[in-house]
Amino acid sequence: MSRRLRVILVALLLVIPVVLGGCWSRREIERLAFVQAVAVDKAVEPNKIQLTVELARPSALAATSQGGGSLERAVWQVSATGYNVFDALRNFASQSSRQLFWAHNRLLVFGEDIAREGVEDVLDAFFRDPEMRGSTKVAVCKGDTGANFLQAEVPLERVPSQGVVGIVLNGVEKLSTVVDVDVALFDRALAAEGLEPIAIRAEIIDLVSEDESRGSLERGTISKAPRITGAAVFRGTKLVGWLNKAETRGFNWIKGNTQSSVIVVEKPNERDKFLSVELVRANSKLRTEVVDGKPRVIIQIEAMGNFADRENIFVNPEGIAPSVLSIERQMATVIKNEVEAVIKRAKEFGSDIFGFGEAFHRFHPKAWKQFKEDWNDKGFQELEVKVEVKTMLRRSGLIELEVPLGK
Amino acid sequence: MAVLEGGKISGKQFVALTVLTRILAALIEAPTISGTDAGHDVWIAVLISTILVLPWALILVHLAKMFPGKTIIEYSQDILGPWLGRLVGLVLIVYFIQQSAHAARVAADAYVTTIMPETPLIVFIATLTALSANCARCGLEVLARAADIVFPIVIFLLVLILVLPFNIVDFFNLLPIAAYGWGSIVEATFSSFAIFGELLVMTMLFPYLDEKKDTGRLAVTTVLVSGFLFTWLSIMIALVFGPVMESLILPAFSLSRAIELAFVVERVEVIPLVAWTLGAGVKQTVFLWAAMLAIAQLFNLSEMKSLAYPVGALVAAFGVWLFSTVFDALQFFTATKFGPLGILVCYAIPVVLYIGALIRQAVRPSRREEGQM
Repeated sequence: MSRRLRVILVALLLVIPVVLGGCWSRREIERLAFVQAVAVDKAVEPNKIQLTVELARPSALAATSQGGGSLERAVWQVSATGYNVFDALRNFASQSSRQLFWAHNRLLVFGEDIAREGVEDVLDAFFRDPEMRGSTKVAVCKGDTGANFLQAEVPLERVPSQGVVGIVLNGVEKLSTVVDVDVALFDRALAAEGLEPIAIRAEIIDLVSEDESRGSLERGTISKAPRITGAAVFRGTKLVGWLNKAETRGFNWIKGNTQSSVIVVEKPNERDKFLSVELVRANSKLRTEVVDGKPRVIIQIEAMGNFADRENIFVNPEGIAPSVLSIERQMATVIKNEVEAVIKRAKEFGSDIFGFGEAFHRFHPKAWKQFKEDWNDKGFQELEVKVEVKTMLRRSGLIELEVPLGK
Repeated sequence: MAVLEGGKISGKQFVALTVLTRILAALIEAPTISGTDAGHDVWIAVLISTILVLPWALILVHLAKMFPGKTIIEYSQDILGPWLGRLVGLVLIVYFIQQSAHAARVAADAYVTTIMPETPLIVFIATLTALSANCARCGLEVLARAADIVFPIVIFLLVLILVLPFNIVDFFNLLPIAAYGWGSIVEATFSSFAIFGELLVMTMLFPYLDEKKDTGRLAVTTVLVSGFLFTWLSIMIALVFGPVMESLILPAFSLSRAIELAFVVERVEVIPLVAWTLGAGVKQTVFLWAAMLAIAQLFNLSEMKSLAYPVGALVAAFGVWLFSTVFDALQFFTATKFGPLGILVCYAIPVVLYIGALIRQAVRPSRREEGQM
């Protein structure tokens, strides 16, 4: 054996193991089933949980990309039960011909029952496994199971979970009556002192069944659609209640999460007629104080809006300025009411979802030591909240006040 | 006596080698490695330990200047006499082998945890060790050139991980300072200090610097650069994860997973994987080379090349045997585990040597003669 040959052989021997390392953990794409969404519910058997996954069907999805809509459903829903998440996950192997692949999972839905009992074990699994991602959205289905929620479809999307995530993003951007919570955020809220988690509130609504007029949109009949609005309030890992639309927007005002929204106010010159103001920007500042050993927070909210509706301000003999002022005052009142409503509701639930406690922990660490023990039941309940709202009305789109209607 | 290691390294290469050696811990387990519950305050501990390490680094430099061209194995015999000196040398050899094994082990553990759960640990350790042993066999210059190439890549990747999550940071996560009390910060400082002891390997590298007058500047640069990167990482992880950070086993990896920019830059966890491989390779090789050199010098061998594979085999075995669970690995540098021993080896030995050297110098000014004994 020549020296050169020997060198080459040794080099090969050294290189091959590097590549071989991958063989143990190799996964072929044909053997994977991509999880799009997962629902967690209580199983019928005691002490067991049921997982339902929504798996993408590549064959059905591929058909659309080559033109011509496929009539097949693009997803397959399948359930498995087990004593804990990991057990249930592995039990899918007895039903699915492909390994479940989790990295593309976008939605985690809890049924109301299991959420009320506590979700700590479930969440742990979703944070521990390196295949799971922190950006998976966390929702709770109000009044129903998560499995049923996965059946609800948005007719616009082929993959139901894509529809749900789309609604969440849309709701956050356009309405601000929705919260956008993912696993990482939920987990952070659980880990923090003086901050309780919230989740997306999901509901199922029935679509009117009109089989004849369904036309070419087949894919079975879509009888149920998802609706995302409001928020689910947790205390620790247990669901304690729900926020409605206005309260959720109140929550978003406090957290400075409001992006765009609509504020409906009464027209300055006409009773019981309403005009919409498009909110374009809002931000909030939170100040904490300890006065005589009592916690106090001051929330300063600034909101800027545009006219979004016709308004004949000239009717007002005093001119434009007082009308604008009236609208601005009404906006401030709406915001203040919503903020106060959500704080009242959170106090009823005994759950500091705003992180006021965390703010005291950060800025008044000494005082926090006294509040810490029973913050949700005592400190938070006694908390004095002062809300200061400043609103501004700025632009009116392309039209000054209204399209002239002729006289 | 035959020249064991004929290589010379430039100052830049020295910094590349030592900083890469330090940075592996940052890439994989810092700041969780401190194994304490200082939470988001770990960065304070890292900062304090960086400052504490500086005088020690200067002692190492001064020792190298008092015994030019000699490694710690050689001058410990000059200072403490042949028997005690050899004992110290033996301890250091074990330490170097342990560090080399530690580098391979943590990288292998990280691969198994993250991407290849079914692959046996030994595969990664053996592969890394085979590469390191071959590199160390080629001598210091080859190793230094490898570090030269790897260094900018690793630093670039690390900075990428540190900068890209900027859109999800919450600066208030750092408040309140000392949330868990100063006791936990002191504990974390202790661990961080013990880990910093890795830089003891500088004492093996100093004699091979081509510009001896820069030694002090280079050592300080290494300490500051690595301390700075560690602090930055600790702060960034606190800013992104807040109270969750205590529970993370591979913080830099989790940090890279959290990166999500405009739906374009996301799922970049391959970045730390590349950096681990490169960093672990350099660190393992530096310590393997140091162990080989130390053995050759201690036992008056005529050459050190043939030691590469036997010592490499020892390192691989040590690597497998080092920890039984991931929790051992995380707690390794705390006050109840390896921490005190690490401090004894890395800090007490050089300080004792330094005091000894000063006494010898005072008693017998003709130190040069002594040195050439």
